[in-house]
Amino acid sequence: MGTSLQEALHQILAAEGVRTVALIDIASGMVVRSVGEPNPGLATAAATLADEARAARNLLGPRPGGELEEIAAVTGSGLQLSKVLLDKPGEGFLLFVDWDRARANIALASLRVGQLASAVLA
Amino acid sequence: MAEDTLLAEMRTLQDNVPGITGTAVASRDGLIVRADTSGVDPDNLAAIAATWLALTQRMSREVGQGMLREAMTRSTGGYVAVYAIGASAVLVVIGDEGLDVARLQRESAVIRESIEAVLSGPARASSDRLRSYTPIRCCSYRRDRSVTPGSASSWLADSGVVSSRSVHWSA
Amino acid sequence: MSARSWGPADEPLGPLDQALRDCAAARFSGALHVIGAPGGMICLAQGAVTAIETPWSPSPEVILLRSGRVPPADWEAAFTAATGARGRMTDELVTRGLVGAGELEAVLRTALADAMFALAAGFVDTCRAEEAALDFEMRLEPGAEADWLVAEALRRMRVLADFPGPPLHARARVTAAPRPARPGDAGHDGHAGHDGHAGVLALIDGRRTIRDLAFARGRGLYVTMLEVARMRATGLIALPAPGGQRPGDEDGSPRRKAATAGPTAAGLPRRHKDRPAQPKRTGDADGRPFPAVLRLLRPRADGGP
Repeated sequence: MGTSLQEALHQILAAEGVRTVALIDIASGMVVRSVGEPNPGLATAAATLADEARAARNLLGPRPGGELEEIAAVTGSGLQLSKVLLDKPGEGFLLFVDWDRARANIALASLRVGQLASAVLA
Repeated sequence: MAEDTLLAEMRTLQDNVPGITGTAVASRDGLIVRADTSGVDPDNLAAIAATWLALTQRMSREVGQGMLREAMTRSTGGYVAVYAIGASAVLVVIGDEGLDVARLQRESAVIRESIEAVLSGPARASSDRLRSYTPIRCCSYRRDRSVTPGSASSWLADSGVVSSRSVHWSA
Repeated sequence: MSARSWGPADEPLGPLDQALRDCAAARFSGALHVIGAPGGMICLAQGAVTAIETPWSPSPEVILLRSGRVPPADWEAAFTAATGARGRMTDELVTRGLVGAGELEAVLRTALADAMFALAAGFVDTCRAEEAALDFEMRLEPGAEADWLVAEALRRMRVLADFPGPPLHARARVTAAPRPARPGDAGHDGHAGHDGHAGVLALIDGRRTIRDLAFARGRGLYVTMLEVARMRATGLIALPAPGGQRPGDEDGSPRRKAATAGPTAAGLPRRHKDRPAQPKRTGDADGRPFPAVLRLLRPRADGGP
């Protein structure tokens, strides 16, 4: 049981260009688990991302097909995708993946994460 | 605003033990004296509690285990416990899943004495007294108690006899 | 290190941080009793934290049951099976398909972090390690690093400190502020959020404390405090005025601790005949009472019989 989450995150980490993978609890902004390159700013980034996810949800409001699915951030060197994983006890999670921008593009990254995301909480 | 002493004692127990969601005091014949609960029918609660206490005390004697200290149920949604208050009343404590059971067991021993003191007052209590108290502004306290100003009251007999002692408040 | 105690310390978590570090260094397995308010017990395996029990934070069981994620009947069946087979409840839940493995680990980790936060939000007086084989139902295995949990607890304290207004106390009673209802007000000025403040507002009855609300919803203490902090900032709810709380009143209740002399409020041993056996308080070397006791003792009332 303890390794299933870690394994799922490692599977994503194995994709080319991925530097860090983390599971973030939206309600508390906490990093539940992370793998990959040590990232000292991750805790702060996680809390901020969680706030952004909540703000985006408020903005979108409740409507069919209007659920927030993903947040993307592009920096000089990286591409950070945060995919929303829903879960009943709580406000859900963000599957955060940090890509080396030189080795990946948004479309492929999003596709790859989408394929592996369902295994994370399973 | 004058809060009666009994409620103050019940609230003190609730404050001291995390997880308590409601308390009640009932007479041994199943009538509610004071309920500090929400979403629970106090009359039903009192009736069941009195019966339950009597049954469990009987059980304790039956198996030769002496005086009943506490009877408690544990359910998926929380706990309920009953305690004897002297010979005339029952204390009911309702708690959620996070009830600090160990602390309740310690605190209940003390609070039972306090409640018994409140209920007995200057003269001996009777069931009628329990049902017809009126809060007034004087009380008697044991030596080792400190008191919040404004929370004083006393049991008043139907005949109108008032007990009045002088009390020093702590600031 | 078969048995050890840590005396009071002037740190945000009292002696708990040091105790956990010492346990990690010694790869300690057993129980770390946390004496204080709320206090609790930390279950350790090889120095890592596998479970925490404290009255201020809902356990993983409460979270899974109260949220409706696992129906009670299914839970009881899994529990019976796990007990009968001397197996783990966590394995049983996953095997039966009641919770996903990754999901369950996430629930256990967030619950651990919340429990550590609850300990930090209150008051830790002393700690005592007891080597023992513990029988906890829902354990995170392998355990979580204690320093990660402590760092997360402190981060949460900082986040809450950033909110305007006086500090929130876990055992403060929450009251809904009277507000005229406006048509289409479901969103409460856009602060509905995913869960909606409506979920919490429905449970606020003037009696429940923040901690009670957390248990009633099956959500963590921290996320409930966050929500209360937001609602206070927008005027949706009211909390007792800080004047009703004495400084250092970590137990967080607005009601005066009028009942008996102070020690109980901080969870310290009572000076009563029926005080149960408690670990010896490793007192101040000079024999002075602990700061908590000094703050909480009241002059006696001379009621007299």
